[in-house]
Amino acid sequence: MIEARNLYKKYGERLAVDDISFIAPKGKITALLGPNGAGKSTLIGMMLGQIKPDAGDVFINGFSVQKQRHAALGGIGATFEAPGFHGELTGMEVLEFLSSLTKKVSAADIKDTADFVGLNERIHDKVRTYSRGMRLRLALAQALLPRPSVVILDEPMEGLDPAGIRDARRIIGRMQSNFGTTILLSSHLLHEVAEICNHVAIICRGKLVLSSPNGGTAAELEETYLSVVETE
Amino acid sequence: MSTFWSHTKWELRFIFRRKAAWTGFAAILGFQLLFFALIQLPEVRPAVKAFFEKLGYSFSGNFTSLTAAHFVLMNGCGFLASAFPAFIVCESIAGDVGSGMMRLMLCRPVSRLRIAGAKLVACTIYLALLTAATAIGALVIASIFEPWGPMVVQIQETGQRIQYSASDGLWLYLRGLPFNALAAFTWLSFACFFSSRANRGSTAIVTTIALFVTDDLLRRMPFFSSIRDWFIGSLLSSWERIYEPSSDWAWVPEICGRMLVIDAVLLTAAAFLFVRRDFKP
Repeated sequence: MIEARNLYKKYGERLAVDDISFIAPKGKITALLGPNGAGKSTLIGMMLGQIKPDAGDVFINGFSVQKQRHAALGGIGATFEAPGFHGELTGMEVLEFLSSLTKKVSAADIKDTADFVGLNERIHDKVRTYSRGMRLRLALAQALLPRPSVVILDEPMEGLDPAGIRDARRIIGRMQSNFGTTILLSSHLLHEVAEICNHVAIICRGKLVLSSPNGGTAAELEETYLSVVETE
Repeated sequence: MSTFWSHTKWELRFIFRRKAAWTGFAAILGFQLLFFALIQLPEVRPAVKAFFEKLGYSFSGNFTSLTAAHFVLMNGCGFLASAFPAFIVCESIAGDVGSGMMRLMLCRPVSRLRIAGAKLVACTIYLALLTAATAIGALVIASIFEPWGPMVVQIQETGQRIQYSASDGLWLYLRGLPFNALAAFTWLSFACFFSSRANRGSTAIVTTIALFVTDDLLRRMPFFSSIRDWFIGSLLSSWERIYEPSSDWAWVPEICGRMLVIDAVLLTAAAFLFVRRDFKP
């Protein structure tokens, strides 16, 4: 479970995150929605301990990201929009390296994870030869390798073609159904969100404007989203 | 193997997968080959001879492979051997921030200091290899073009000229290697400092090179001869004192101590900034 409590973050005079508190429930897929510049990525940065909040804290499975960083991040996997990898490495090497930062993961585990995201055929190819969709699969694989109970995905489907979006949606759905993973997904793609998410949070100008257990159909979600964003 | 050393090994692998790492070796080798090829030209050779004879030594018998290797090492190669490790550290730290790789690493329960430390150790190993290759390469290439024999050295900072037998010269030349590496490490520390807050490798390396060049240009201007010791370049080239005939090595703790204090201040500040900074998308 992810719990944000009274988060504040200011960049100069601009308030990027303004007293946000919300819960991403255990075992559910929570969508984090909002227009560009709303503060989604800053919020995710604070959840991962990469951006220090001016006030407030985030708790991952009950551990404070600020005070118990290692315990909090031990149960988490994450990826970002257009993740950069060392292009001269193979996909296998990227996974070996990132998983070796904490403890050695067996080659069988890496292979299983590559199979899970559908990367097995290209895993020994250099990353620079990968398409955007293949890079996303690699990013999802590295996020899954610590066997996390919580996965945070920052705009994972951005820039993918329709087939890539469909594949990403399937993989994310299977993460939840196969492993019971708690997933927080930031996205602009309301149709995709409506299909796979069980919980929706909308932020606008740094404030949480809606947190609802069900966003409804794609059309309903779009209507809700536009009404709260335009009101703000 | 501890996770720190395992990470360092990976970082070394990343360094040697970068074309820039090999370009460093190639650029230095190319510079040395070009230098030695050019000084063989009949249009150039008399000027080299005249320059050398101004030092008060006969050209034939004294302009040897050791003399020439030392000359090329102190004029040009030293810059390249400092600039490439600085470039590599900027790519390794700020470049990884820019590409997003750093954020993927920081998602793991690993301290930021450990990540920065592994990168610094890997870049230091690259620096040591490049320094050794530069000195040995200069000597090997010089041996192809020039005869073996005594070594004549002019110490840049003091203008003092000394002649050594080939064996003494070779021993001093090799003894200079760790000092040369220590001097290059100070530029690596500057690069590390500028990388610790930068989001792009290019920003950090341009800042480091600009500082390097500014320091060197000002240091060489005659107006500033009275304060030449204030410049970083003067401190970093003062290891040349190993060639002083009466060298009792009493200067070693002072000179090396000053370099190490600069390194320690820069690396501590870099660590502080790196640990405190936000990694924004």
